[in-house]
Amino acid sequence: MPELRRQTALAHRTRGASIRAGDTTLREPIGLRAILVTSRTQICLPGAIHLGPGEWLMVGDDEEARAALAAAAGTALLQDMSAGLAVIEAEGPDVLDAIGLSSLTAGIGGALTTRLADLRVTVEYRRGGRHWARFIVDRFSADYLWAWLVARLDAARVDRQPPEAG
Amino acid sequence: MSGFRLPSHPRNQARALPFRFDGRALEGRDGDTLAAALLANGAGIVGRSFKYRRPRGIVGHGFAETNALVQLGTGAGSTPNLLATRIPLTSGLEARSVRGWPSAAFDVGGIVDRLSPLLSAGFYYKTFIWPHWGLFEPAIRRAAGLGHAPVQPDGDRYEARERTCDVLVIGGGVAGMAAALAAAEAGAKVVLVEADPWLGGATGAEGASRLAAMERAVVDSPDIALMRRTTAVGYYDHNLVAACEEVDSPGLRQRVWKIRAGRCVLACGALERPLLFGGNDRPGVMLAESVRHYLARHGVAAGRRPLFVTASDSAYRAAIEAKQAGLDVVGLVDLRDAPGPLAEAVRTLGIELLVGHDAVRTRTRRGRVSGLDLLDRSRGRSIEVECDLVAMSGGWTPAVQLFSQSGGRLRYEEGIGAFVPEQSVQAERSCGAARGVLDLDACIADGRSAGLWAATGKEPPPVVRVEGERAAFRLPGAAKAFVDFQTDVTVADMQQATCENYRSVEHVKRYTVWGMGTDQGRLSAVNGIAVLAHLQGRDPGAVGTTRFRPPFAPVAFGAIAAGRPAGALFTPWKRLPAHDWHEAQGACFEDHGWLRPSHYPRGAETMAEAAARETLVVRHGVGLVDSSSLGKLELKGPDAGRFLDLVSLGSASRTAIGGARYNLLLDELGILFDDGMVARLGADHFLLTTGSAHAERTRRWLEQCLQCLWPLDLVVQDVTGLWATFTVAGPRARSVMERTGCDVDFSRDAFPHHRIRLGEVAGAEIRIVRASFTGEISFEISVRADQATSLAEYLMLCGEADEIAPVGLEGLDVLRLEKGYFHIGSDTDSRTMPGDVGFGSAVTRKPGDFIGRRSLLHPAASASRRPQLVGLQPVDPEAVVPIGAHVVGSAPRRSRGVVTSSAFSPTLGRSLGLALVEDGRAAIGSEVELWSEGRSWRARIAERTAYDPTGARLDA
Repeated sequence: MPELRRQTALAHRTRGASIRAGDTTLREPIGLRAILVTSRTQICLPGAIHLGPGEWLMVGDDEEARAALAAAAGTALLQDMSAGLAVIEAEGPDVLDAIGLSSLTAGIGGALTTRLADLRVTVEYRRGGRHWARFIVDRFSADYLWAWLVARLDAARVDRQPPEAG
Repeated sequence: MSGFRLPSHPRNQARALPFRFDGRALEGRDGDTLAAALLANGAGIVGRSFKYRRPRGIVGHGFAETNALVQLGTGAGSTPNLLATRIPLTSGLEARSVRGWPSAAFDVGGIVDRLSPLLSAGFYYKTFIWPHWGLFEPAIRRAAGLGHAPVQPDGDRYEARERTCDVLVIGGGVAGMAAALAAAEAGAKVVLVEADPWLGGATGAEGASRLAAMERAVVDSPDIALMRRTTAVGYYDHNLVAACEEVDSPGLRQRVWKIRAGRCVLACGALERPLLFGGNDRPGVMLAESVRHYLARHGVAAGRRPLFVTASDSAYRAAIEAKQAGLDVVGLVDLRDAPGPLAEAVRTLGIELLVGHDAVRTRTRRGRVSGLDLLDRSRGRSIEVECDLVAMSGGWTPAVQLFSQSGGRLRYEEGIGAFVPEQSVQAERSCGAARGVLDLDACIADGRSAGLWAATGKEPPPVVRVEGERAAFRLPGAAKAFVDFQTDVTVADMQQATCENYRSVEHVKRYTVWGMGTDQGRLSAVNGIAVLAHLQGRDPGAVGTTRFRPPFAPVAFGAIAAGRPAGALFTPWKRLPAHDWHEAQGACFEDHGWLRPSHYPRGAETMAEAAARETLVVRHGVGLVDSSSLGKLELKGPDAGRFLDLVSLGSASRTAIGGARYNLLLDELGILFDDGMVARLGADHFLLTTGSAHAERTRRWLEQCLQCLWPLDLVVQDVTGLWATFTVAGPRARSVMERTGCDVDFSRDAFPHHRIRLGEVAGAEIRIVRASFTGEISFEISVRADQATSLAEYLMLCGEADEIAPVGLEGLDVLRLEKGYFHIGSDTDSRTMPGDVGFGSAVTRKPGDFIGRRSLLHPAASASRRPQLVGLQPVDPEAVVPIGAHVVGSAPRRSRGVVTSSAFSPTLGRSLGLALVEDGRAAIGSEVELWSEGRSWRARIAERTAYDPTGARLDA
């Protein structure tokens, strides 16, 4: 009997490769696990992204989450959302500014959940020589977010008049 | 009026630029605005008024212009209704007046002016009624309007950017520059926006040297970001200001800025007011400050023999500068009883000063001003003065639009006869002319004070009080004294409105269309209020202003949409997990937020033919429907069942593990807003499905109930995107499922209707629910979304022997209509309660409290004439009645219902429908008339379920 095969959300776009949009490289990482934790009580989940009241997202291995949940009292639901979420990684010199997130992202790294491209998107970011950002979105919206990022990054690359000094 | 260029002005040495206006080839200078170039070429008539088609000339400069509207460019880049006073002249520029055929100078439509006595205020509401409006509408629409929007797509690019700052200063006049410098010196990061390419505002020659020094300081300051050609267009909450930057480069046309400021200084300046006298709209009548502006900035004289008429001190300076520029200033008429402080300077230059005179009416020759009639009030004597330009000043109106948008309150300042900011509600302060301070030194001091406050938050001692020139207001007696030049509203129109008992300023505005032109009343607002106050015997402050709304200046739609991709990306779409598979099957998609297959045409099938075939596939064989878009919420916790009982009509807590029930969600008023299934996965674990369009809303509703109403012990999680769902539906569905090798027993007894089973298919974890939206045996198989395509392929393989076929939304809609299953939102409206759709007994049977119960017990919930959902069978079985058709009651032809669903049933070989009809169930069996857009049909009201009413096929 055959086994049902898996397909990433953006396989039809990327064919497994990264693409250039403006000065940025976009790719869909393979094999990333995402665990959604919903809890009535406050839980300390090291490394988790706090999405909102009672909601956390663990990207990567879930051992710490399971351990923390096991230790925590109260009702919680832990769900492997790997198949239901899509992840897009972007790396480039000015990613956050190009997509209008500069004013929301402080410091050299962090994470936030915000409204981007009219979607609810969780963004992890790092600033260094090259900016890096990871966008986590519902699978069904991934195709739109990908197309939006490409269009926005391509447009940002067009020469524009810099603001005057200050 | 005969404009010309001053030979000695430096602008005369600038590069010559050819341009065209109304088909005429003309020449201007680099640095001109289009208006300056037109004046330099002696252009008198540049447009026509909206209603009477009267000739109009340039009256002002910058934003203080209401007549010189032009259509710029051709083709896709053509832009209508731009102010000639704000267009920088470029080589080859092509502009046309927006009104007037064949040209503004000679307009055939000008004959309308002779009918003006018949076209007074409000005539729109009293005429063109008989025999019916539709007879006149096409002609009036053709004659009305200003300019033409291009029909080709806008090929220009726009950009949206954001920035933050400590202090935002709006306006680069002396007060604004003083504020920016003071704030920067105090350590703030400052953004200064100025609409013009230059700084300085309305500063005259007396402030030129100080202006130059301030401008150098602003440009050199590392803490001031200067944004020229950037107009602040809207003031929003929490000090968010929207500004539009004119870039006009080949790659970028406009840039919209969203600027969030810690504190804001409004140094928007003031606009000079026209005077009210007969014929004040004629070409050759201009604002005095604008005459000065064209002389000083552009080296253009708007006339050779100007007559200045003023109720304000500032026109004295304009007359002096005009004389010093070499013009033959005919005189200066001061409407006040006493002259201004510069009277001696005026006389010294040889300008005749006439004090205590009224302007009565203009004289014209060939449509242009040739003189002005005056009245010497003290002697009661009329005087005729010959001139080719009337430069008028009725005082200054602070530009309070942005202040008002911020939510601030205005008050009427008697000293200057205008409204000034009184109380701010946001972290904002006005300064300079924007709050009525008109003296140069006082403006600078006021600006510094505002800048210090903005940087530090500490209120320094007030430097100046708002004291202004006392501008006298007199109601003109002459006819055709225009209050609003663009919309042709005269003093007489406002008198008529007052006679007809329109008292509110908002009502008078709409009745007369005063202030409703593209200028938004910039030049007419205060004069109109003064006229109303005089007519009503009230103070202008009591009359008040109309509401100011953004944008302050026109913004291209492309700029508003900047940052949002145009075309296909304009609104987000949701993609089914197996979208590629549907494409491979030849699906035609519809966008319902989700891209869902509507049908899968074979060969040359139309949509109706494909839908009919797919319907019969499900009725006689087996079909495959992608139901992945249905919302899926998991509820887990000891109180999950109890919570579901409280929020819905069903009793989920009484469902056995493995059971599933149909569920209705109600709001507090007992109104249906969603339906779906509730399946019990475990003792404290439930799965709730929702409509495709309702998942997010239902999730928010449940969270609101959980957090605000009943803080019970459970969590709610949205797993809509995690699971892909395919429905195998039809009499052969079971045989297809048995071929999958799934570890679930699909026999009738082991897996009856309304059950959920967990299992495995082809190595993948699955959930299967026996529920049906088609009336046939159906299995809804859910698998992790990343395996959706593979599952679809596998199910098609398993169903090959039974000729399984994909089924789209169109076919699904026919199938559920045949069974009388309703669709929330289509077959229900904002009044529909459970009893209206046949679930009244569920209300009475349910124990315990639930949302909406109290409303359902109200007598109105069971009152007569409630719209009830019933079936419809047109008497002509071939006739498909349009959705939205009315069910007609007895005389006088009242609507007693509406058709909510309608289609042709290939199963039954006839048309069917559903309708919400008053007392519908009592009318079952009766025949009614249906009506829609002039057409009628006869139909019988019937039970909703036309196919398999006993439901035997569901339990086969």
